Amino acid sequence: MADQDTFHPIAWLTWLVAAALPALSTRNPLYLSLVLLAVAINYAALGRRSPLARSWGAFVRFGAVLWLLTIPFSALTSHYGTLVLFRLPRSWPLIGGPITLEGVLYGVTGGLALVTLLLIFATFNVAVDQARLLRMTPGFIYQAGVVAGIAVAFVPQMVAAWQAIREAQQVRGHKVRGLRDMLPLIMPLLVMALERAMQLAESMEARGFGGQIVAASPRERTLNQLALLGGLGLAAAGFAGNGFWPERRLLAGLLLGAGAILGVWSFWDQGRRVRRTRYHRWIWARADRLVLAVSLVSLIGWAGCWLARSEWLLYYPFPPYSLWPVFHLAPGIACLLLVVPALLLPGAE
Amino acid sequence: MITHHLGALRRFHHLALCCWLFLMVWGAAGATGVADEQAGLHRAALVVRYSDNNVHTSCVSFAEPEITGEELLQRSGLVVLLDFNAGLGGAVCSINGQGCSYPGQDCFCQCLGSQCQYWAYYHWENGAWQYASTGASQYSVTDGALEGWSWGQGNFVTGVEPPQITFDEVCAAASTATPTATATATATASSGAQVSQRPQMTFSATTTRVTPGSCAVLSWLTWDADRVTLDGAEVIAQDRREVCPQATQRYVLAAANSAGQTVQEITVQVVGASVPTAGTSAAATATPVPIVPAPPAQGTAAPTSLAPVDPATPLGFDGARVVEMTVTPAAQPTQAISLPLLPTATPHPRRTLGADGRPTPTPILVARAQAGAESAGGAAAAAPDLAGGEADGRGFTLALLPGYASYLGMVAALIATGGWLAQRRAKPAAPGGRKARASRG
Repeated sequence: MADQDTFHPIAWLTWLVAAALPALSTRNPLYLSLVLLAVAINYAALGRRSPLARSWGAFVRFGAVLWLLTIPFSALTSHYGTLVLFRLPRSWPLIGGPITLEGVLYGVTGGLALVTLLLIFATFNVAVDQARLLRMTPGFIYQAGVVAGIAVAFVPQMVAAWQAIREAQQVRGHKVRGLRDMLPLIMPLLVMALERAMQLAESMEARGFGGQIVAASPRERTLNQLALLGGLGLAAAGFAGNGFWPERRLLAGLLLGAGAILGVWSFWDQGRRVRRTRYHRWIWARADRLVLAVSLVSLIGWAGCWLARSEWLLYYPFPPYSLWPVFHLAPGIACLLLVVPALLLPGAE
Repeated sequence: MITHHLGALRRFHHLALCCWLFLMVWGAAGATGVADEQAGLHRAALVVRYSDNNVHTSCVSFAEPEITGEELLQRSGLVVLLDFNAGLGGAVCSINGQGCSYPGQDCFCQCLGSQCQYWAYYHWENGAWQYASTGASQYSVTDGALEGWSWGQGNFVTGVEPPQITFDEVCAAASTATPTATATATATASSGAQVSQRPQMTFSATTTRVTPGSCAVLSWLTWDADRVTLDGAEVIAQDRREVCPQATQRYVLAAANSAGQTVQEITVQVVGASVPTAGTSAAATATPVPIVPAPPAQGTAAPTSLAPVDPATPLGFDGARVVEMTVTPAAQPTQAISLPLLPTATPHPRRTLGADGRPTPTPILVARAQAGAESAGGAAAAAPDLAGGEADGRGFTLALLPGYASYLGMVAALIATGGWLAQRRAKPAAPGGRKARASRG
């Protein structure tokens, strides 16, 4: 079954959360480098599976360039710390003053977190097709799911199209010297984007995405619209009340809650009329369950360390904190577990 | 061919324009700085108001023509936590333990929602505090400037300003470069003497006899002290603390400078509620320390060996850097003379401390950052090596080694895994594995 050369989208989604949490919650370079290494192994093991996946390589390179940019930015703008490397004339706007080792380190760790996050999302996107993700969205937000699916696929498709056009024009002897020479590249890109959108719309129509909604009666429709409007109004009143009358917190909370309930009911009621059938059900194999379990263990382990022992994860090079990051075994193992999907992939068995 | 040349010319034109713009900006910014490059030592005053209306003032001297407001804070010796996440300089999260312990907490942890408390930044301009319109790292502090930080409800309408104080009051010693007229009561009888005297202090309690569950408030004020400790813990030079002892407890306040240390103690006796007029013998049982029978509230200002404090070893401030509070040497005799004149603690006239509707319950005058040491220390603190970093607990310690060893082990395991996987992929795919998986689906 060619379809199951990767894991269940839910398993990958859990892995995504488990991997993104460390990258978002710490700046400790030791944990971040472990996560980066584990994710990179996954990325390499997944390989370049499709033209769409190949375009994520450009994203990773972009992340690396961004990392190189954050280091001088942080070093030049934060003139704080005790380990002064050199001094720029004070009269230089913004960048003048002492350049400290702490500032450089802060840039390194910040950029590392950024690159790690980018690589995590690149890996996830290579591993899971948007179509499969779209199939997982619950019925009542299927419209939002369609829009999100198209939006998420837009940039990688754009990058892939750009690479194809450049290649084709280079074969014809085209060279980019100035802005004007970009025209032969941009025009086909726009035409291709329009064509692709038309094609997508047609193919979705052909697969019955447009015609599966049971028509609502006028009464139902007005009720839904009223509920949505009322919910939005109540939520807005709750927000305003929270800002203007901080002492009436309970009332504002009740308003917010009522608004949320009305809105969710409206969406759920609309979703009830969407009939969807599955042509092909995804089977939970042993490896899928294993990836899910390992990701959950990693997620819970990291979250537990984060909540109970947050000082294990903190890293901030500026005084009065230490320049040297701490490393503890438990969060390290949580990072290490992220490598497991690469070991279970079909090619590696 | 011609278009090609034109393109090159145009590009060169852009480059020249960029260079010119850069030089303009540089020149405009440089013109202000170069003028008083040779002026020598500069001083700026810093006023920090804590939430309990305690005020810390310090006079910082610097050799540069101007420093940023952030550097002024850093050089005043206060323990400052800064958040550099937003870019373009830092946000002040905490000063001397008041505020948010970034990065464990959010930098504006008390500014979530409609209640907003943070360190508001003020400049003294035209005889009044002005709420700062830029961050401390963008603002340049020049000679004679007075800068204020105030913790509280903060916008510039309702925020509590730092107390009204003048530059001369903060930098009392031999001010030469301040044309600001002052009409304050502080007499300046300065002489260039070294710190030849031990610190002076007043140490008192609202009551020395409490019933179990009730509290007493200790308050102290010290002069000329490099470091002040209460029961061994670092405290600021002037503060108050509420104590609610369960058993009779002795509190030792020690103030030290290079000339020696002064120690005073107060014993707060816990008497049973059923014994309203217990004598001195009532406290003899269940005391954690042997107590002197019923010492007076105002302790004797004699050096004792009760709480030995070595001036060379800095005490930790929650594992962080030590608050250094030093006194301008020239100001020392002044303070020594004026000490007996201040029995109930208001070194500055009430009028100058704040508006009429804003009482200042505790006196200003806490510590003055030493002018000479800081300017020399500017160079010293500027380039310490890693060994220098070890002195204040920020350097490498052996306790980190097991963690680093396990980290290296994990990295080695990951690299080995990656290498093994790459080897698997390089070989033609094993047909068995693929079939086994396909049959499961």
